[in-house]
Amino acid sequence: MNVLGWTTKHGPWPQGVSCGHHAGLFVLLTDADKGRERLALQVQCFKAEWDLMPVAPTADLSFLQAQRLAEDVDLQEQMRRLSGMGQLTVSLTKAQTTLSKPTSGRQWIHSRKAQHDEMLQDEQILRSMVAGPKTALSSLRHQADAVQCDLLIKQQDVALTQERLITQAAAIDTSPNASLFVTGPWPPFGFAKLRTDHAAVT
Amino acid sequence: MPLELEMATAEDAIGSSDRRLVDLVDGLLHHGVVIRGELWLTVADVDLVFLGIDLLLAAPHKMRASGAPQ
Repeated sequence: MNVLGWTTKHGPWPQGVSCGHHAGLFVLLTDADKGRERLALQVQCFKAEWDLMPVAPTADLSFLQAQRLAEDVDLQEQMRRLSGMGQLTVSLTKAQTTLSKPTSGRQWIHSRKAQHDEMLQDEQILRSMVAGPKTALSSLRHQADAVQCDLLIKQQDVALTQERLITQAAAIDTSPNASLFVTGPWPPFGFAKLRTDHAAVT
Repeated sequence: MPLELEMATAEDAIGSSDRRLVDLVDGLLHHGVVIRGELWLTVADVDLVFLGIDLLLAAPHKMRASGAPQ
């Protein structure tokens, strides 16, 4: 069985999830072997109580490994920090434009530089939108046509944060092929620090 | 032009076939981090040399699970 995460609540948990106990916390376990199935179960567990410190869905962390992890990581402290918290994942995407094939190296460098400048601009827009005095942010992640990050938020702040993002998006003047995706709330994957010298599970 | 905004719940994102949402969920599943570096050497406003590097940092078992050789 693989660990989905830790919680202080006793459930009930969805079908396919069983519960163990160690380090003063409940451990949620599943037989599901696909990352996407585990992610769906984690979301269900999280939505039930907003009290889940999640393991990365593809981590394959066994109950025994989780017990060993508790010797190196203060799980109780992590749980106190993340209980009642979730994350919104914010992604600024650009529709891919078809570039004409460069006819020279110089032209290719210029087009690449333009792409790079656009990426920096996107990062700047995203940072300005999500930054707040009391907002915890993950580092930025890049994909081929998107830049994204996670915001750690309290359960009661979800609607307020979403409204703030809607207002800010309406006020930003940008190119027509840009769009902002806000997904979640998710379990706080980007903020559970479960790394040790022996294993990295998030 | 105002920035177009779309929202999706976690359940919607997991069940979606929209490529952008699929990419986003894959990012959550694998937790890989891309470090992107680009360098231009320019003299008198003339770009002479470009050096670009994209590094994907992820745990070895996650890379193997994605199809890379053991």
